[in-house]
Amino acid sequence: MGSYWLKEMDPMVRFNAMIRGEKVDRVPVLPFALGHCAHVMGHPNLGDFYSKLDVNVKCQMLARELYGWDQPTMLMNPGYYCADWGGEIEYPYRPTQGSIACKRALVQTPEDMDKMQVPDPSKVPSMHALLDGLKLAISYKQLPTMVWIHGGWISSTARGVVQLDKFLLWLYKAPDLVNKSLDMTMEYGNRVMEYLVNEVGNETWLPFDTCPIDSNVLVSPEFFGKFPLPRVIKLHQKGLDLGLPMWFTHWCGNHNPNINAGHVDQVPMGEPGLMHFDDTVPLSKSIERFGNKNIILGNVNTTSLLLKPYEEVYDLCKRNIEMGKNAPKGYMVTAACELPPRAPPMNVYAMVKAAREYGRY
Amino acid sequence: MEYSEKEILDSLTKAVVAGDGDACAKFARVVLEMGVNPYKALMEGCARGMEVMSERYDKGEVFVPEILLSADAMNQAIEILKPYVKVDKSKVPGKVVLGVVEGDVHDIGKNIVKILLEVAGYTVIDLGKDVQGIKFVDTIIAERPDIVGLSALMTTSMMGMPELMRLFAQSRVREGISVIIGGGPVTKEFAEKIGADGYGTNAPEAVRVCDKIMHDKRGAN
Ligand code: B12
Repeated sequence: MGSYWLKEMDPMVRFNAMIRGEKVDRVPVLPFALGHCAHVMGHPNLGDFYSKLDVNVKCQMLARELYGWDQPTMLMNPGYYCADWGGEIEYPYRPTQGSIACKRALVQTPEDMDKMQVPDPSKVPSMHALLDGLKLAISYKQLPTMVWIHGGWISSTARGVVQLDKFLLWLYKAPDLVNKSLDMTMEYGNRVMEYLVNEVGNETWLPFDTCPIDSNVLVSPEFFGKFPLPRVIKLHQKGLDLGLPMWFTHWCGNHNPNINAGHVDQVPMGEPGLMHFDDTVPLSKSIERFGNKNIILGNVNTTSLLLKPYEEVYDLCKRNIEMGKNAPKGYMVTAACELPPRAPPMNVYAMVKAAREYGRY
Repeated sequence: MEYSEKEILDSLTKAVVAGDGDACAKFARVVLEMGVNPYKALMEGCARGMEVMSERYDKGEVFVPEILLSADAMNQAIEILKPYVKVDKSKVPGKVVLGVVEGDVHDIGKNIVKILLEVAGYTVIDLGKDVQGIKFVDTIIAERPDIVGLSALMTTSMMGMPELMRLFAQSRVREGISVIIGGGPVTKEFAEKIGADGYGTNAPEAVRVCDKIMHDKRGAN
């Protein structure tokens, strides 16, 4: 292949050009790498990565440099939208852990709902940490930094704030509690965006969210349309009204019935938005359905990235790139869900190499 | 009103499928009034209903809240019937220790497996999610289960399963227990490769695998 890529566009320039609708030299690579960045830095576990955002930002920045990928820093809230509300979390200091875990949600019974109060982000310690991390990423010119904003989804309510099984049962037995708690997490999401915009403005970052528990592995499209959807529409609109450029949404799990019901089209993403389905939704379908308004991301199978030999992964990336490359608003090659933290570095590099080889415009 | 036994069992099944707790309680009382065997009512009425729900889930016709609603309704029947179920040792299927392997917090599937095993009569010791290997070993020593069920939804945590098998062997608890595995990425080939005794893709299968293991075990005795 030679080393023509040494004359490539700078990754952050490439990413920004694509989201502005300008020309890029090749398909960008957004691996959806979080914990993996800590592993390649030699951290024995992900504890510091998730609890100390200076460590987090540094790992992501250097991993980007190492691989040459185009992913701006992605910041999670170290309170995981669980501790913020008074729930208990555990940082992943055991090597087997892949992410922060919610140990206990605040609301376990209907009576506990009285304890649920929308926090003021300026008084939440994990929000101070998030803000410091964001300022650090901005100072390193990791722009736009992507910040996890979570509210209004079932995924941002059941697990972090309300015990999951209870919540799912309340969809039938106590819909008023469901409505109330979804409204409150949406409100918190709104407040977090306002807080960050007040502190650092609206040009240096963009919000991202994920919604596994809203997928049709767990809930029907009818429930999705009735409960989270109206809140998510409001939350996303609020972000855009605050002047944030766009949303990056990872639709985790099988959302095909939600797509087919027309729900997904209703969520404001900005123009273009960044749409990322997992590999239950074929790239051809997401491009056809959402590609006229959104940049499409996807869809390299995560199990393959972790376990398959390099040649096979490289070929898989190639096929993804060839399928996505000509999407009207652009395409980025991405793992189908978070890049497995312990994926072999060569398989991760395969994404970058395939983009250089087959993704050139 | 008079009901035939079949009508009562069918009504229980229907009430479970509909997630109708009041109807479950009503027909559980009818079971007692009409002298139907309460154990049979649990197995062929209630458990059948949960099995129908699981099958519908696999077809994408219902989702997890509907399964939980059915389980919740069924519990109303179980509460009424349980005191009257005569425990016949040879009929009690067995004891299962169930848990999601370390590093994995996905427990919705495991919880559904638990519901179906319990309604099929198994005693289930649920260790929860993100369970460290040593906790499985300690529980096996303390509880002497027939079966240990391991669940993993992530490829990474699935890779912890062969390590657990080694740990069980090293800790000398492997003998006398059967290990079954399940969850998203787990395949039959993987189960065979790591020397598991059984594998299932969904909750009714988990019950069938356990039934077969217990049948073979009892047959051998
Ligand atoms: C809901 C969900 C979550 C929820 C889980 C909530 C909970 N309390 O369980 C939350 C939001 C917490 C979550 C978190 C994460 N998730 Co997740 N999640 C899912 C999702 C959308 C659905 C899983 C589910 O509940 N299915 C429904 C149940 C009913 O099915 P089931 O679990 O398969 O169980 C059935 C059978 O498998 C079987 N079975 C299950 N166990 C057993 C055991 C035995 C013995 C037997 C016989 C049978 C059996 O019977 C069950 C009933 O029929 C899947 C996507 C998917 N389509 O699977 C991703 C998925 C599992 N998650 C994934 C990932 C990567 C994560 C995160 C790491 C993301 C992150 N960076 O934060 C974290 C994990 C954190 C951690 N440390 O574990 C990936 C895993 C990729 C991989 N192959 O490794 C998946 C596959 C998404 C994807 N598209 O890639 N997730």
